[in-house]
Amino acid sequence: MSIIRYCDINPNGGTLTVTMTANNGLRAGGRFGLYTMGKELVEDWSIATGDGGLGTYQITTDVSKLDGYEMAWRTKVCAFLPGANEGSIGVEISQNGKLCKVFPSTVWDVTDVPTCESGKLMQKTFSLILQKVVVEEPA
Amino acid sequence: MRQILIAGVLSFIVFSFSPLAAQDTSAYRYILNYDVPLSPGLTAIGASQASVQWGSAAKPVVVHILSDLLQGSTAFGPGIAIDFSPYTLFGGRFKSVNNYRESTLLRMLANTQLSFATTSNSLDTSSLNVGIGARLVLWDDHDLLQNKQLGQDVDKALSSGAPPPPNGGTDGEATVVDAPDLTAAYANARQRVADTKGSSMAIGYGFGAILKGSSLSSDSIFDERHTVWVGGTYWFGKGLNGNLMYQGRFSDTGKPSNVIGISLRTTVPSSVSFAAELVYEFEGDQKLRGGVNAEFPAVQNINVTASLMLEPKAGSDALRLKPQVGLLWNMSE
Repeated sequence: MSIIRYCDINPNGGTLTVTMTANNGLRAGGRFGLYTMGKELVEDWSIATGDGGLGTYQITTDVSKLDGYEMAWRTKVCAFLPGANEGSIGVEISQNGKLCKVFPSTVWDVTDVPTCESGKLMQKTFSLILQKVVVEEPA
Repeated sequence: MRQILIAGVLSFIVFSFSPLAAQDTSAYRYILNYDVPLSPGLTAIGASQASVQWGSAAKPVVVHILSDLLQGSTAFGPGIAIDFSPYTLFGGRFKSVNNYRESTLLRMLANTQLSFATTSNSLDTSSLNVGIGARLVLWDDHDLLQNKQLGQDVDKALSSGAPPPPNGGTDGEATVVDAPDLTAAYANARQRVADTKGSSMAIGYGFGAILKGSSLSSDSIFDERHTVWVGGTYWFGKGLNGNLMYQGRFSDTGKPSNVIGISLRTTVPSSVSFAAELVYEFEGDQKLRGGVNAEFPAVQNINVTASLMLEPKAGSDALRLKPQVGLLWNMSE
């Protein structure tokens, strides 16, 4: 049985930033979709980790509306440096520079990744539900 | 048969001691269709299909299989060599692609190639010629891994398509799929670099000897030779390149030998490559020699090589045309 993944966000906080990382010379990219509870696509975007192994995107949808929304994405990865075909692909969500709590983890440890040169890639879909957490303001 | 056995043992040793091998049987996948360098091991015993070295970047694992079409015409019979890049083979890692591009040391390590080679000895059928070689690429302007446009095209292929449908906060299964956009990106990159001017340089060292009775012991190794070389390549664009090489050969039994060579090659991605070369040896009776060689893709992961070289005839100073065919094999797929 699959565990449903949740991501805690502060509806009164700043915009959400999605960061994708890839190490060991792996190259990864993702297509992301943000869906309402009624499964309507309200925003979509792409991220590529590029030469530096890191790519980001700032979600434009008002954060106060995101409670219960779902973020789904497909990660594609291939080994750009021949022989270096294992590593980790991470997707993190941050708000005001602080990482949002996500469980289960969105880090994908990969082995046996095809080389990009072989014309093949490895892919997997992920999903998480955004849920608001009450943050008490200091008195 | 002995060559195949020895190559098998060498392969076993290389892959068994690799930390990657234990967890991943396909760790060495790569495509073998662009500018594969000559085997340092075969160079160490003088059995390479070309004399003039070029400077291209190392490939992870290459097997060279040679067949002598006129057996006994020279000291070298059929043979086999295994070339590999130890850094990636033994689990060397990179932080990112930029890490490879920006670190000269890391790039050199990744492009250092080791080689084991053996051929039968036509003059003494109970003996083997064996060679161990290493090759270090100082730079290679045509190294695809340094091609930024290729990186951007790969990124585009990896981040294309529609976003997946919602899945209630759960994940799908990992799958491996064909990606025609990646294939096209590499085909375009190979063509782009083949059409671009640039240079490369590599240095190498090889130790060669005759193994009497084909058994390894201190008193069974004869005719030890050391070979050092430096080879540079300049691409004129449109797939044409010129190569210049110096090679020094040293042994305990003979005088040092100094050789320079030039060659002209066509390097057309996924197509036939041709080369013509001239070699001048400062010592010896036959100072000027030449040869031609070609390489073309045969079936998936296998290239066929053919060469015709003027070589000293076995047991005499006379020259003789030596035809040779070989296979370059991507052993990982």
